[in-house]
Amino acid sequence: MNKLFLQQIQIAEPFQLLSREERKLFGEGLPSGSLRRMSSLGVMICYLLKKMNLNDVQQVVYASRHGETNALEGYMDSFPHPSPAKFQTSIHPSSVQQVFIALQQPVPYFLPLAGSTHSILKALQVSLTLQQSPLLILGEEPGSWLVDLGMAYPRGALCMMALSTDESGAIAELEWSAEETAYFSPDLFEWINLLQKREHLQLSAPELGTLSMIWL
Amino acid sequence: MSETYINSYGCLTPLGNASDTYNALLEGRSALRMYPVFGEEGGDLVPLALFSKMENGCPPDWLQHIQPIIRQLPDQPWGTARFPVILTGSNFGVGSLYSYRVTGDSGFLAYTQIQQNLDLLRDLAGWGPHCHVVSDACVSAHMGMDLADKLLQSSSIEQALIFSMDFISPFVAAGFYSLKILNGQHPMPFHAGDSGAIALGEGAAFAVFSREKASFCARTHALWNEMFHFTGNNPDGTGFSAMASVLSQELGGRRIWIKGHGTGTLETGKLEAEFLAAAFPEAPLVSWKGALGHTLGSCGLVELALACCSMEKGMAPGCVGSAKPFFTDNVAETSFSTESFDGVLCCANAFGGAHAGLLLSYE
Repeated sequence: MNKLFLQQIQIAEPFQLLSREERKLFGEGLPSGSLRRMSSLGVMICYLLKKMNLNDVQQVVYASRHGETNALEGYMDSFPHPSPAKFQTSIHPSSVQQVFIALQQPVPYFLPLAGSTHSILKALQVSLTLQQSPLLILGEEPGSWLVDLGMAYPRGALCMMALSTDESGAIAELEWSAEETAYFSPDLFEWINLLQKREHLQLSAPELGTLSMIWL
Repeated sequence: MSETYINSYGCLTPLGNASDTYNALLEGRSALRMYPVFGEEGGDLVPLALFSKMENGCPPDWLQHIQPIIRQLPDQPWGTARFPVILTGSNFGVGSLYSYRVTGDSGFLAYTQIQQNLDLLRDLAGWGPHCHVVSDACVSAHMGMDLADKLLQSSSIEQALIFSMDFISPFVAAGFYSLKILNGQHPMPFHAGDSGAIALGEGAAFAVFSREKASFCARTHALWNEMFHFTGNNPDGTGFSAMASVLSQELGGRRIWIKGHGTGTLETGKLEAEFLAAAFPEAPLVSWKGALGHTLGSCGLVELALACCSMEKGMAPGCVGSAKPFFTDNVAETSFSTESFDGVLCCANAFGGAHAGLLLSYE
């Protein structure tokens, strides 16, 4: 069976690199040392995770096209005296790790995906394969000079979906089938727009089958 | 649950293909040499295992280096619906980004993104679009193998090709140098000394997972993320014990040996050796990173290929480059016969306190 139910969804409106005030606001309750080192995407993940109020996170799937871009910029800028802190945070999937490290919350299963082509469809397909209750995090960190090189988005984006095998209380049903339909494969920004409209969706791409999402 | 088998495997290191590398390890040969940490920009000398030099060409040198292993891949319609490719690694494109920053040559920008690297590979190997990229630092290859297993269990595919590669650039070398774990010292995995250090190595590898019966069966993947600290493990050994607990339950009376992670750092090496010795007291423990360096996100697959060679040829190389005293008595300094063993446990660790273990049985 390749079906899971969406229990909760949280979306962050596209965001710029967070100011000190915004970091304090969205990262309220985090240890100050952890908050200082976290990326803007990490702070936003933490903020949405708190809003989701999940009892337990056993499985996390994270997908990002460009990954930890602001830390990558900072690490590159630190040469010829490379910064160990920026090096650590530039490594995929640190945006999610820094959140759970700040919360001191172990995660038994954590699958970080990367790459850009059909990334939303692939992340959903893989999440359904797990057949448990994964938390799917689709996120992008805003960049600065990497934007000009096509290696970062000017604004960050974040969508978090708590999926479950449990139908009760679900708000949407997601099902994957091997059959291909009309090709449609949004990027994260388009995906967020579509989710906000709450329309039934069918994602499909060559050799990747079809992912149907039906709001309940 | 149906069983998952490894139908084909291979690796490429600066010592050669899987067979060449295996033979070199048995002979006690090392691929490590001393190089300036910033490449042409100089810097302190650090131990690296490189195919040629650290500098990145345009197009990148790795496109040439991986040709022999691409030719080894079994002939299947990889990248199609029922034959996905899972590309793993931890270094995609950062060497080209570093070169762009140093030289200002915009030609490097065609090779800086993960997707660009995947597309280059697809063109080279003729893969279709069904490709997943898994990047989880030094457990990337293990996560890719676990994903292959899960896709097979979901019955949506027939076979999965897991392909991994990592090449060293000043970007990566300088990062580990800044963490002070890559320095002028040679790595000595599991050696109970006063100080520890790692070396970095280049490598590429593949494995084909399928339900078609073969000599190697992927019995169990054990995964755990401590989320205690970015670069350190929880000193109480939580992650190691979580892994050992899952794996020991799946042993089923098999006699195993262990291909450990063993980078050469002190704290993690001690924890790994002690927890594995407690959970599997009869199992010899080895690490090959004292000869190959740490091949980062690809280490799980590179070393899996060498572990498979060891089972097939009846002899496993010892901890080349390391020496007594070891943290525990089960560490094998020299090569040993694998003929009395019917399985091998392959382990890896990564930033974030990530732990991965794969129990392979051999029939």
